Amino acid sequence: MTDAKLLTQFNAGQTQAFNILVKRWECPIYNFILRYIGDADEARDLCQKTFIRAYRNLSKLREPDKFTAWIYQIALNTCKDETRRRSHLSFNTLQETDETTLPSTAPITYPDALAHQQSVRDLLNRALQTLPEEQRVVIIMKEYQGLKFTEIADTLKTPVNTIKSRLYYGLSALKKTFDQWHITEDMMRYEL
Amino acid sequence: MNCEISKEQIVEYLYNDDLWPQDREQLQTHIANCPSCQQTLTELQATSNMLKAWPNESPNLNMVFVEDRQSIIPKTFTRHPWYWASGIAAALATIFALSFLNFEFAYRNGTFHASLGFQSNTPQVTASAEPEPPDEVEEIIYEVTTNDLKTPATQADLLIYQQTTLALAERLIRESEMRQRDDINSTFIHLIRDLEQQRQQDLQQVNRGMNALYTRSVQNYEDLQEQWIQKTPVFVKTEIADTLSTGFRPAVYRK
Repeated sequence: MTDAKLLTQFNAGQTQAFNILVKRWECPIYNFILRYIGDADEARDLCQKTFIRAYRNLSKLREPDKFTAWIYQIALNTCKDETRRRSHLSFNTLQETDETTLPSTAPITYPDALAHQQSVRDLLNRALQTLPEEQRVVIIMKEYQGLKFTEIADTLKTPVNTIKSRLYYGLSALKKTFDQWHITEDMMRYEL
Repeated sequence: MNCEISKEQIVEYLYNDDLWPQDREQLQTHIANCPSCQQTLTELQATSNMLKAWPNESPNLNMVFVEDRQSIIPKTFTRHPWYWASGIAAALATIFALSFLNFEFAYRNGTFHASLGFQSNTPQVTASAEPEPPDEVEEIIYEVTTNDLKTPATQADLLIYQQTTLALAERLIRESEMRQRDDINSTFIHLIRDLEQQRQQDLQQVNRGMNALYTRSVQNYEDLQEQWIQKTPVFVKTEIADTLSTGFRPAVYRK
């Protein structure tokens, strides 16, 4: 059943339809927030907040066909609110974090697949957090969420060409970061 | 890039998104003959591949939404502003009328006292709010109304008139009290019934929520089981099967 049909059912009073939407979208939204924020526990909390906000505002959604853009907008706004709240609490800048927590440049030997996966996850997380917010969002939406350029443009309310340009500069910046950290494509692969 | 191909076009080509087939062919031809574009594309592709090494993770939120319920209590006590405005207006009108008649009302020693008078030197008439036979009051009213109005009123007539009015006021007060008591009783009976109804609705919602959680937990368990079956190497499964077939059983299965 499509999202639009579930929304129609929800507006007709069937709350269960929203539970199906949550089940369908919890994984994409959680992973989007996780890569944006970088912390699993916080991502779980923000994911819950996103769905609660969505539940409260679902009746205001005028175009059910644009549910994808709408739910990502809510997730992004929830993340931004949290980032804003955190910025009031802490004065640690990203620059300071980068200087003190650069990953080791020595070749890494991985004891098993899980440890390797964890290391890769941490590396990529740190690399993503070095990007400016506007580039990071576009990269996450395209690379991990698989959204189309038009969907990203709808979500961010930004022209499509700007989205493509941010993606280009974001990927280029990531490449520079990986080069600085001496991380190659081969290091990301792991065979049992 | 030092050629006519823009960075946006390279990105479109990389993701094969937002690109017409003929445009894609043209780009492909150009890139095949342009070392600079080839290098850019290779670098972007490599970075994109590296990012894909972070797989999606499962949040296991276990969120269940149940339908909103409308609170019954505010519905019972919330009225349109005009309802309250008309009530206040009626109360003010009554107070004004009573003050015009020099009406005095007090509660002393467990009983209500009411007095009414047109002259300040008129002795104050005090009456208890104890119920009196209605027939008596009606008789007084009859006597007063059948008097010849052309004859000048004496002090005694005024006194009778005051007593009659007083009796009427007392009866009205009693009736008003009874009505208020009935209204309050009725409101509380409704309130109790509504609260009970709401409690039943809440219980039903909790039941539905618990059922939904149970269904989801079973589904998650089955998903995990399936993932385990898919991910576990064959020799491990064989070992487990061998162990089970040689007679080992968990204690819970022993009889």
